Amino acid sequence: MIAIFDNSRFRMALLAIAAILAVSAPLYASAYLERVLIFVFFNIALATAWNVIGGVAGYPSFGHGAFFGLGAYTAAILIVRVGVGLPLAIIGGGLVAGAFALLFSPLLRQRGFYFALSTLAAQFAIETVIRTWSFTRGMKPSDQGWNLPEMGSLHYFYWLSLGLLSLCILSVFLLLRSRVGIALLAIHKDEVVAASVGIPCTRYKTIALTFSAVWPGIMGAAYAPFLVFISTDNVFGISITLNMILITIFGGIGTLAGPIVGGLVLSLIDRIVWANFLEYHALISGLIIIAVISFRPAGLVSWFKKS
Amino acid sequence: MTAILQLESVSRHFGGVEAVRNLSFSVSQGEILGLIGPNGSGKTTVFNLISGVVEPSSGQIYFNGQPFHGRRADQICAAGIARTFQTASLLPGMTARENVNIASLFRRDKLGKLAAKLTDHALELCGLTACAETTTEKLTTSEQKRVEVARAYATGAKLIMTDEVVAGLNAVETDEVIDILKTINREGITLIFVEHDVRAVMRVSHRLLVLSEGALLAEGDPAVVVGLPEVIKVYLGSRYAEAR
Amino acid sequence: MEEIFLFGMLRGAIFALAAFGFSLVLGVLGIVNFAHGVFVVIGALVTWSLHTQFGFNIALASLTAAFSMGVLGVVIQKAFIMRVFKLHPLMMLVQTWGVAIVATELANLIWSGSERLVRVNFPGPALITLGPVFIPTWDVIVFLVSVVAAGLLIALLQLTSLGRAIRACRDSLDSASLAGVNVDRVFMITMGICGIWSGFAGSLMVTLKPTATYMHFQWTLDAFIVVVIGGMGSVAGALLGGFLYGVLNFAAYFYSPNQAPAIIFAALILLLIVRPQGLFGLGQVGRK
Repeated sequence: MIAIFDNSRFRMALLAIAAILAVSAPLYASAYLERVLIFVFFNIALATAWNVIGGVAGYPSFGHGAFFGLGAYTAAILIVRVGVGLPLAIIGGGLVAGAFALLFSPLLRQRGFYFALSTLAAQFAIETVIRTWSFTRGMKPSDQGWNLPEMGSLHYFYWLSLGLLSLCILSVFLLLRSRVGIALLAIHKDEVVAASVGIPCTRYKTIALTFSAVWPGIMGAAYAPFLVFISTDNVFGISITLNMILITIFGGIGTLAGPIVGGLVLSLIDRIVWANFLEYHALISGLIIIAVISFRPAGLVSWFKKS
Repeated sequence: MTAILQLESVSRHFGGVEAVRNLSFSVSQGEILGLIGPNGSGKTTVFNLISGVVEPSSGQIYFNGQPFHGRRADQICAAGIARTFQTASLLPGMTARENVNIASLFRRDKLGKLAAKLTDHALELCGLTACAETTTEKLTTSEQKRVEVARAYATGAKLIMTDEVVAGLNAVETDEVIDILKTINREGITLIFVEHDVRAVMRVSHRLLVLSEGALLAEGDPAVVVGLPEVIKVYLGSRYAEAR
Repeated sequence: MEEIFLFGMLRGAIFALAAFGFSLVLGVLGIVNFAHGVFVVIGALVTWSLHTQFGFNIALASLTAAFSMGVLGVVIQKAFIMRVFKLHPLMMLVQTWGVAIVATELANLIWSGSERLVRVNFPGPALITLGPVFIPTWDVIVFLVSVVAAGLLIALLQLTSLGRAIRACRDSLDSASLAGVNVDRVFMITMGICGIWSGFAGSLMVTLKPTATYMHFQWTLDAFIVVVIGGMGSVAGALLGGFLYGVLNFAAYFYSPNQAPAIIFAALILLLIVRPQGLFGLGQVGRK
């Protein structure tokens, strides 16, 4: 049964069916299911983007949630203060996130957990600044976060998020097949060797970081008007980053399908746990993490691959 | 013959230890220079100095007449120097072809679609066509060493430095690698051949450098140099006896 | 100004205690333990329970709590860490993060998420003066106890054969195992030591400030910052780093409580970029 997944025609057929189901869902799904799916799409996109720097390049960013928050805040400020429409706000979100990625690119000089911890610190620093700066109206008693205007119906946001997710996956797919993707793989496996054959490692790592930051920025910018109210509580925080990482590892780190599969399955598990074992939600999440890392670190997709 | 590489009074110390002392020599374009010396003689440091892994504490290195200061490893490769590694450096989980291909793909003179052809040529030159699709973990030592050479060749380097590339190979495999290096040299590529195996060094080098305690001990025609009393003394006779 | 320095130094001793274990684990096992702060907070809570609910005297409660954290350290090491030791460092980070979540959730079942504080009664004045500054006596007592505990650890590392084995592993795993050191045993003991000293730091902290399970990650970060400042792998560095960080931390929160975290983190990032080996460090430690 597993072997059938190796057949590329079967895979294409599966993809086509999934695409048709996904696009048509608003026509017959409940509003509740639609909302759930929108969250799932956001999660998958974020994890897919994280995978580029964390999984493929091997530089696990523990501060990636900051790019999502930056995108959301950029959109909020642009929409509410400047009055731009959603498309421009989304582009703005991506640009600001990308700019911050470039700003923090010197952190790429470190490896492994030093990189993880310094990106973590960077996220906290950014979050604190946004929370306490009046220009960005974090969430102090005197400020209110950002209230955004109604910018579209539920169906609109469903197709918007699905569309952005598709673009995100497509762009990652193309990136991984390009020279950039091969360079990142080489850098991950052995950076010294990669440099010795002429790969400019700093340049490619920076490209990876920036690329993987722009998408969360874009998604964050789309998320703000969807949520209608944003503050540092709901668009910042370590849990966004940890979610990206967990989904990617659960599904299969370093693979394209990993974040997708991981996002779908974990969202499902999440819904079940939320409905039935709410008090133990965090505990079960922790146990899932330990179980996956201890027994299947290569993630779910490794079950479908030839060994 | 023009000097492709020149070291002028190069020294390098690590803490209190002087690994290389006031070393000067040059390498002519198109020659095969053998570099030998007992353990601790500074061979590895010289290697790392030339390939840019470490900086000289004093002195200068010139490549093609240009000083060499402060370059990153990938810049040095782009300038035309490539090296092999002493310990396993092939990328895990990739085939021989993929390993060589990363060198072809990332040349400064972007080959684009021609990269694959170059990779094929490099593999063929090193007798690897049969095992091109085999992954690193399944390659024999001899094949792995030859992939390293193919990879260095594929970078388009004008100067290739090999670091104990025949270590661990039997006589037949050693001769195979030597023939490959000679073929590469005939294309005009300069080679620096750092080795413990004196017999191999004698077979392939045009000129021989002997290091001892970080300084140049002897230099010249291989057959002459290995007969010098100071060289034999440094090796305590045993290695030369083997080579004989 | 002197207040900040003094209070910072006093608190710094506890930061140092909590950071020693982190530094040792980083140097010997080569891993960053995201569950590190768990030893501190659960050590604190166990101390609270033993003293407040079971009537142990404070010294006995602290020591028992510390040793129980040592046991916890060994359990975590054997059950969760060794299982993924050979994998990519990211896996270890995520694994220890999972352990942290599970441990704190289980702790919440016992102690809930509320903050606990232990008020210690002792004979003598509540305040003493050091120069122009009034300091709570208990803070000074805690400081002295911390210094003794730090001294004990340093003595253990420098003077005992066990300490020699640990240091050998820290310097070079390969050389140590070639020399006949039982590396697995050293790993286990190092994690145990980490648990004991970090747990003890928690026991001390719970008598000074309210402590709750959710604070565990902050403690992990604080330990990391101390180790970065003082230099990875160096216990003396962790001590000095602890004092420095104590002062910096206190100053930052004193002058700018809202922005303090941002300032501290920004300083950490700058330090990592500009001087990754720390002030007294042995260079970056750890695999990869």
